[in-house]
Amino acid sequence: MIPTLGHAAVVVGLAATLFAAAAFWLGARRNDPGLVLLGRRAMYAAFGLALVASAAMVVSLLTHDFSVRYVARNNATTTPPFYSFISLWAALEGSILFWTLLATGWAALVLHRYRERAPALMPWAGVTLALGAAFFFAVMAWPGDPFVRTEPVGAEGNGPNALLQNHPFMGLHPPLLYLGYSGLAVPFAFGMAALVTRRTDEAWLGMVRRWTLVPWTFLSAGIVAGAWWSYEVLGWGGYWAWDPVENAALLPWLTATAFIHSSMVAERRGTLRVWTHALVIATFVLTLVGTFLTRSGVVESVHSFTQSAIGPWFAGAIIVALAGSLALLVWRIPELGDTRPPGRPVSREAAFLFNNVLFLGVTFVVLFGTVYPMIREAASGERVSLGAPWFTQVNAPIFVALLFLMGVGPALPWGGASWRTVRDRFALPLLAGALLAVAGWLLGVRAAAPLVALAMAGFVVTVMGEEVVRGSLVRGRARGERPPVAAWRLATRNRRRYGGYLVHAGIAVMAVAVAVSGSLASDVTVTLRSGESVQLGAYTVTHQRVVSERLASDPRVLETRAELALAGPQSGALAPALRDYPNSPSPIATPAVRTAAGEDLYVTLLATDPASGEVTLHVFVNPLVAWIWIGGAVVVLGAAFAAWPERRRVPVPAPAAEPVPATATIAAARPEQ
Amino acid sequence: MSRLLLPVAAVAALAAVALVGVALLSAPAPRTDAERTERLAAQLRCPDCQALSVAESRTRAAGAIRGEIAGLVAVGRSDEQIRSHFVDRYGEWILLAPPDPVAWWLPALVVLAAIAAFGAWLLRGRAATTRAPGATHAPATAAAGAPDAEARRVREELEALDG
Repeated sequence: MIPTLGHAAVVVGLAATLFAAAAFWLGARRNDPGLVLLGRRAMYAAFGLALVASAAMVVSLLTHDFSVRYVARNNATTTPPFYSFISLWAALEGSILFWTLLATGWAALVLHRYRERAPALMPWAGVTLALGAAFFFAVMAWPGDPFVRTEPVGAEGNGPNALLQNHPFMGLHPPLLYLGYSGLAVPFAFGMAALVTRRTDEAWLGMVRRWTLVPWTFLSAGIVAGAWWSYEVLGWGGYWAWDPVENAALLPWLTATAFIHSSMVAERRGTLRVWTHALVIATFVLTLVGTFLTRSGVVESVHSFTQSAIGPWFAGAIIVALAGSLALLVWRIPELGDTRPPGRPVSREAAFLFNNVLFLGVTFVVLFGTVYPMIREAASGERVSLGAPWFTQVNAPIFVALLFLMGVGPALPWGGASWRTVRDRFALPLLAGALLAVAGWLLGVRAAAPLVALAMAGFVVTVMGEEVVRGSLVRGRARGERPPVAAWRLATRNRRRYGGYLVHAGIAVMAVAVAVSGSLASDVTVTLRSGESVQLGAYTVTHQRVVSERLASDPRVLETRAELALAGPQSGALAPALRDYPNSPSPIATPAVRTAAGEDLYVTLLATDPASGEVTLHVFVNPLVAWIWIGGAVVVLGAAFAAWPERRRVPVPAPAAEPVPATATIAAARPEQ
Repeated sequence: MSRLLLPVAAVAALAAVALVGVALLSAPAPRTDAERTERLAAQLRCPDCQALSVAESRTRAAGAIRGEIAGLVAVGRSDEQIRSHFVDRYGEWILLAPPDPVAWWLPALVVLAAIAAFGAWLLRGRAATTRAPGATHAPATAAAGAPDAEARRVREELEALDG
């Protein structure tokens, strides 16, 4: 009954989205607000239907309705309710359903918010969003039907993928990532609307930047949460392996980041329209490419889902989206074109655009590295692979240049800088960066990557710090505010800028943490009898006993854990474990991680010998890893700060010599940013 | 202050660059057999996992390869000989960073070409229009002319409007 309801919701959802697309289209062509209203309501209905279908799936999972094939394959009677619930996105069909829910949710939210503020763009954005949602409903109606039944109905299901039910982070990482991925359809829809209606103006740009920043924030959080999940669950001591699907999540993040930067130049100068559109299109298409890579089985990955029937559908969607949007863009180029550089070679504009060149450079490298093995195998039959060492070596110089630009951009004024300005603004930050690197050397760091990262971080943070201090003092003096009050007001009146600084500070912290943990980690693999210990760094790990028992939360799972005593800078008990899941051919490692500000102690249990009570352990000391997560949190916080709606409209200078009067009119004409 | 700061910053920056250079040149010389084994293992793909090296993975196959590397290191084979030993057995696929010229040169050339094109575009624009219409050069000119404090205020006021 309930699965039938879910299936019906999918079919009606497909009809509703197709109807919405038609209504928006006709409404826009005939300038008929009634039709547009109808389209909008159909999209609200589509969201409601996606909600019904998702709820039907969740209920089927929670009640272990094994007549549904998806439930039989991904659930068991003993699966805890939390993991039953999150199994909504644990496998192929469910994740498409979940995606549809989020995509229609974003669409409904945006269409509602902009129903009056952007009456010209909204119907065409609605056509795009409705067609996108229709595609997902169609995938669920045909190749990826989540509600397919099985006969006969078994008494027990297969249970969720063992890796995915091993850590509560699975409740966090995929939703964040999907929120980011699915939300990037919104800027694309507005991009298409602007091209159709020839309204690539300031208001459009502000809207698109806001609706890129919001999903960007979720995508960033999702990527960091995924790295954290990998670190806490997979037991190899690392967090990023340049796995094809990790790359797939990174690609749209890179182009969206490039867009967020170039849009500031575009807004200020009123140029770069073609480029802006191209980045919006690239970002959206790369989310589809990422889904295609994950869901079609064309790449080997820790994330790949087994089935590949939907591969051709996504390949088709990529081709349609790319060809359609590029054709529209090329058609409009004569009207959009202004290809002059927007600033002098030494200016903030140039720094931001150089950032774009480098971000697209990384995008190319990552995309190339992900697909080159496939291309070469198809062409010559030889199997090659490009792994982490390749990605690290090729990207490292670009990352260093990007870090440097992160300091250069904010230090240079818009328009162009005199030598004197450059000197004034760079001297102290350069000194700070250099001193940090020298300090690192004196503290015994002899690897190049951490020294470079320290220098760059010192440079970047000092540039921003200097500006915040200077700005607060100027404001404090001018308005008689105390410096902390002035700093807070300065930041809240310029959310985008100071939120951006916070993001940059978070990235600087992450860069140092990544470089240090990558270069200065140490590890040892040992086999210990009961009572024996191993030393690594300042830590001593002593093996006490092996315990095997069934998990209270899921008695089908047999956990074998090594109970260890830890002494050193951190102490206490550790219990890395191996968990045997009935549906997993090999046991799943559950590492024990002790996190501290300076370094993590990380222990994975590799094997136990029941006869002798011996355990084989992989022990790591990973310096500064906690700062990757802290830096990630700062990035997300900064982005949220920047994206937070402003009550007061901030005047934005027009590209004119007298900013104040011009801005007043634009701010008045501008929709909420 | 800035008159003193600049040379100090320049010297410190040079020192930092020199230290990084020293670190780059002197770092990767593994001394012990264990270090060599570890480094070689980090270059080989674990045959039965996804996207992990033999050094990172703890599967049986990875363990066997690590043992084999240690054996080859112990009998005095060179890094190159050891790598080609595994390439002969598994194909080039086993190398995480294969010596495939396309894989290294194509991305490097594309990125460098993009940077060059960008640079040419910026300079061409400078030659064609030293001033884009509507460009606000106020910060730069003010900074050059007016006294420091006032220049900064002007700059601040302007940038406070940037958003």
